[in-house]
Amino acid sequence: MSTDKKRVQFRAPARLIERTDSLAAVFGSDRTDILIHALREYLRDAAHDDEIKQEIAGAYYDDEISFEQLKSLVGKEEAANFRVLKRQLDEDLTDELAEL
Amino acid sequence: MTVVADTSALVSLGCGTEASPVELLTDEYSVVVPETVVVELEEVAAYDDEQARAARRVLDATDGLTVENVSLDADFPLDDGENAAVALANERDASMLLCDEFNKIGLVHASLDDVTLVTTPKFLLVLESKGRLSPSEVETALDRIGEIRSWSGNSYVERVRNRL
Repeated sequence: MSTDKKRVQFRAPARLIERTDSLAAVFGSDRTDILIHALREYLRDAAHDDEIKQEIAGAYYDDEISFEQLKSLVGKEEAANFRVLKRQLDEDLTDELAEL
Repeated sequence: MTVVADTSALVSLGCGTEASPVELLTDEYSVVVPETVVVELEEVAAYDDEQARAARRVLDATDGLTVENVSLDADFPLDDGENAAVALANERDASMLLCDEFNKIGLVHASLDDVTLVTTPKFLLVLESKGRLSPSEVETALDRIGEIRSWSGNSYVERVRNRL
């Protein structure tokens, strides 16, 4: 895994951050560790949730995310499936096949 | 013009609609299927549900299909039916391979030499473009097949609908 780190800044509800800090105190870690852990779990679950996976595929079909982004979200194999299905949406292909 | 189809695509096309896509398929193209696919269709037809009835409808239409034996390529990490369909499509230099295994479609595509992979939703659009189906008939077929093949929420199928 890459060790490159990116600094991010965001606003979050105060109560959520308080709870995050409380859990960090329990684990003897810090806010960042808890947030990174939570984010990793969420992204991993999202990649296995059919509904979210279809949302991701839809964004790829509509050119809202790139193939590289798709691959990073759903993995290489699923991304290859969605790439083939995206090609199937090409209207020129319909015309070419209709000529056969 | 040779078309090879795997079990998934044939079950989809066999789903009962007024337009009867499986008959349009055999009417319009020279359709070749591997023996393994016929065996799989018989297995599906042995159940008592809508997929079974779809498989039965295809088996009843086998007069219009040529069934051939093909040796499987052990290197393909695919089920026997898909494996045989891919091998036959490559061997016969088919124009199209009809396949609906969305979860393995990348692998199927990568295993084809010079054959165009075509899913059933796409194939229905091709029949529409050829004037063999009206847009509303395609829509009805997609509804019916989607219900039986559990395509609800599939964003690819949704986008095919938007093309109508």
